[in-house]
Amino acid sequence: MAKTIKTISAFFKAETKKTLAYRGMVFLWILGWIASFITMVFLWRSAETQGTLAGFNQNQIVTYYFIGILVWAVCSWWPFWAISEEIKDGSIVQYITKPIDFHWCRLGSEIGWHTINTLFYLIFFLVIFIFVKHFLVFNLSLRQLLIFVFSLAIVSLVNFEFNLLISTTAFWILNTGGIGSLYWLVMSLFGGQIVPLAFFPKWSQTIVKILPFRFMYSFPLEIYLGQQSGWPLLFSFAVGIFWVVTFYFLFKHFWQKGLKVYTAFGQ
Amino acid sequence: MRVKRYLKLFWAFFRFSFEAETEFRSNLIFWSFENILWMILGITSIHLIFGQVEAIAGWSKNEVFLVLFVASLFHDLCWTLIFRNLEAFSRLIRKGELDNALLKPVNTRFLLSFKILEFDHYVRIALELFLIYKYIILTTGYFSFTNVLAALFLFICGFLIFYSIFFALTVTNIWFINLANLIDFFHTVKDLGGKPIDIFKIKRGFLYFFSFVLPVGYIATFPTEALMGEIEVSKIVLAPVLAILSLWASQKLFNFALKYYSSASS
Repeated sequence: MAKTIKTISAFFKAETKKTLAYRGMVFLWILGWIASFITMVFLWRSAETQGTLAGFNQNQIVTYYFIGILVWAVCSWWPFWAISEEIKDGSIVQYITKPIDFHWCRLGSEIGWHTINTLFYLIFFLVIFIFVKHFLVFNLSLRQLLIFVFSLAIVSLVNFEFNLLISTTAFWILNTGGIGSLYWLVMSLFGGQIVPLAFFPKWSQTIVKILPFRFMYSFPLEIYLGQQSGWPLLFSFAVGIFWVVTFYFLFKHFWQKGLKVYTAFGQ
Repeated sequence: MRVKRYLKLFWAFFRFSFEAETEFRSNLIFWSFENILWMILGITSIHLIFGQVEAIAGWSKNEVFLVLFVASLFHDLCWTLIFRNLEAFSRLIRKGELDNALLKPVNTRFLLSFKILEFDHYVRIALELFLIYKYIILTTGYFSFTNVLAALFLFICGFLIFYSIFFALTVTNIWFINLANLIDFFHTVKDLGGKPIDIFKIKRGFLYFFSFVLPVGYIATFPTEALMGEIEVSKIVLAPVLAILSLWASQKLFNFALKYYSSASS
């Protein structure tokens, strides 16, 4: 346990330093998110409709996308691109030849990157808040806030474990870019990034709600907007934890299999 | 003579890129298929939105579809012609290998902008052209070549404007070193243009900003208005002015930035 914490801590420190050194990238991500947020806010505010939008009023929609920025900053744990590149160019060898667990190394790095990333995001988040505060919905009790924070942890871990799992495909195939793009496509739609999941047809709601993609973005937003409570909320947490554990063990399995077929040179 | 030389060079780039792509045929087929999936995602999104609303800023569902298909065409042309090149340009700066391109006896900007071409967007481009034609008929009830010419003119100007903006942003790598996610940022800018810019009408400042400063309206909204025969003359007149201005400004920035470039002895 102490060794694992030491590993996470070492990679956390290294990654925070790296992120601070290359902060230009973080600013570009933030600018991109602000642009997307502005577009979605204007899109929904100019929507001509009679009544509510799948149970959302206009302020709730703005809040959905606004809190979505925070969810994104905190939970987008996507080591897929970096790991699959490391597997392809052979630099993964630096981990597998050392007596450290790759899983915890990456966890430390992700926490490091997201700590700095979230701090930068928060600055812009507060600036945007000043402009849109009149449209936002705030009725979160302390209990709901705690549940919301817990859901952020679940979403981060689902993203992380799923990314680790799909990055192992790089052991067998060359074109991992296509897998990454496919993952992004499915997550954008079924994760609730483009439109809230409540906009999906009624017949598809049950399926969409147990798919792992909901636990990659939308879940904390549903909690924030008070759309989840009681037993359905508990069930959702159970499903989220199920996906974390499942992806973790699948990753372990495919990682071991992948190492057996892996060849690298010149490292 | 000069034009002929560059056309010949472009043809050579085309051939090499095509040969490189067809070397990995399964990859080409996979990406062509996946690009169509992305298009289906765009269509699904609009269906989901219009499942709840009747119109967006005065634009009906079919009109918004037309905007989507024009924006998708813009997206595909960006990938076919410039994005891979700008990605490579960005990498050359980061690795300090740009002098390889600077020392070649050819216009550096031309070389950096068109050396690599992508071929997995052709199926989608064909599909988009068909859908644009279909939705012109659906929204207006007729097909006018004059409208298509006006739309094409605006589209080309829009493409030149954003090619210049993206090129200029890539040049900033010389100062900021590790902007490895520039292409993702370009996507966001391009996505802004995939919605009718009339959504910004509720705040005039935003509308002017996205019409004239970062003129995303030229990506899809204005060409679509032209296709529907509803374009204002002022937008047509302004388009080449903005295109020339942005080409000129990006070239100036490129020349200026090169003074700060340091190589890694490549």
